[in-house]
Amino acid sequence: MIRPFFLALGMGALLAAPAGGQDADRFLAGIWPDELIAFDQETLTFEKVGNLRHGAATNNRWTADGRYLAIVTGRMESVEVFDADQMAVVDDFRLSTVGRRVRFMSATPGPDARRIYLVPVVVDLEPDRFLHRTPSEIWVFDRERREVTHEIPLGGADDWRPNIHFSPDGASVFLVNDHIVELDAETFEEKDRIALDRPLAPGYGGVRGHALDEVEPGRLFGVYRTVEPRQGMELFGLLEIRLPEKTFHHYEVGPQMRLARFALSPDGKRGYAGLNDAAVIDMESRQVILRKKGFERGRTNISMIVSADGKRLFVSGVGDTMYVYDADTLEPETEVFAGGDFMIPPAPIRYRAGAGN
Amino acid sequence: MKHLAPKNLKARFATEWLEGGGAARATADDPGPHYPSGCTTIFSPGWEVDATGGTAALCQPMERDLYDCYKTCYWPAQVPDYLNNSPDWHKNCASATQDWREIDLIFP
Repeated sequence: MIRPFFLALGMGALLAAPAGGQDADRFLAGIWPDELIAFDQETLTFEKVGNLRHGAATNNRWTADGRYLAIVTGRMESVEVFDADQMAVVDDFRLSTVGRRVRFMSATPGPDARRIYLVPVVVDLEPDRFLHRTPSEIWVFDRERREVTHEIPLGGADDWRPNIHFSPDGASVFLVNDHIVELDAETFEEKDRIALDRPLAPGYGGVRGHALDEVEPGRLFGVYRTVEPRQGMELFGLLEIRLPEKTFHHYEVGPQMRLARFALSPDGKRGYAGLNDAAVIDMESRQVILRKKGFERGRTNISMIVSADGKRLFVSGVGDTMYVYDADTLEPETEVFAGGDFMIPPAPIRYRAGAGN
Repeated sequence: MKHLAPKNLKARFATEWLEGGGAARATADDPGPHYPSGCTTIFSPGWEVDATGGTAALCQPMERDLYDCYKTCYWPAQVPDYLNNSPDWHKNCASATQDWREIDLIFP
């Protein structure tokens, strides 16, 4: 089913996350407290890349082309910019002053990372108390001008903390949460708004998802759950958003399972949904070809990556271990100790110098 | 329920709400908790249970997501105050499941 972008879907919390569908040989990750490491998927080993400048990372966002990573550090008061071309942190900034602490819930780099889109929390330090406020705004920090150049209002919802995506041509900014708002990337004027509170079709329950994974620039996947109206059966399905065309494409795949993350094989033929339960999906027939109930128990991991050859599934992001599974059977192959607890979940280093990406 | 009659304002409100289909609407509109899959939704001292009231969905081992309490999950109440008062409480604990004995004791 393909619908225009503005026909609604009811998504729940949408969290940006490392995506699948990659052909990178290595993954970048961060471990406690400030160490950057790379994982080689051929040798199944970690090696140190460098260090962050201001301590433990609490949030991170990649550019869609995989070149830049913006990392919130410094007790949420600093943003560091990692360049995959140089494999090093190349810039950092903070906005706190003597009487005011400005913390960042997230920092999202624009397509060329010149601008960093910040979700701020401001704490004013008065002599006898803290005054805490959450501006209903996104601040746009210009790394060349070294200042916040724009404050984008979010319409008064204090807890409306969107994930931020960009059209591949850089002309639009998409704020994604319970709504999707398209802004002009230069003027930040609203160009389009997608209502997300209507069901997919009459009689169906709303579409609720946990995460959108950007498998390639402008192409997002999410796992959602809904209720089929005739039998009242709970189902899970796949949602695909293509930002350039402003379309979304969704279909129910099977009975409800505990799924939140999604990864796509490099050839695009297999989809993997997890991680409390796990499902392998044939993307052409749209059928589940393997189910695993109770795939992970307890706090589930947050990073799922298909290997470049499509034969392995790498699962990690919580704790100190990279779990390696056979991608066909979902049987565990091995575990690799990362050296410390993950602070930045592994994500493919997709950037290739000189490849024009 | 036909043998029970509301006697105070709260009970009357609850009755009207239920008769008006409030429970069905609440279920239909419930957006669900915005927690990462697997995180507990209930915490009180001495007890920690998952969304089902059990413990199967809690961290195993319990130290596994210690740093997630101020990272992804963002539960500052469950860990020492990393932002202001105790930034180094975990400085000797790189891997929480292995080094948890090295965590500093923080006294209020």
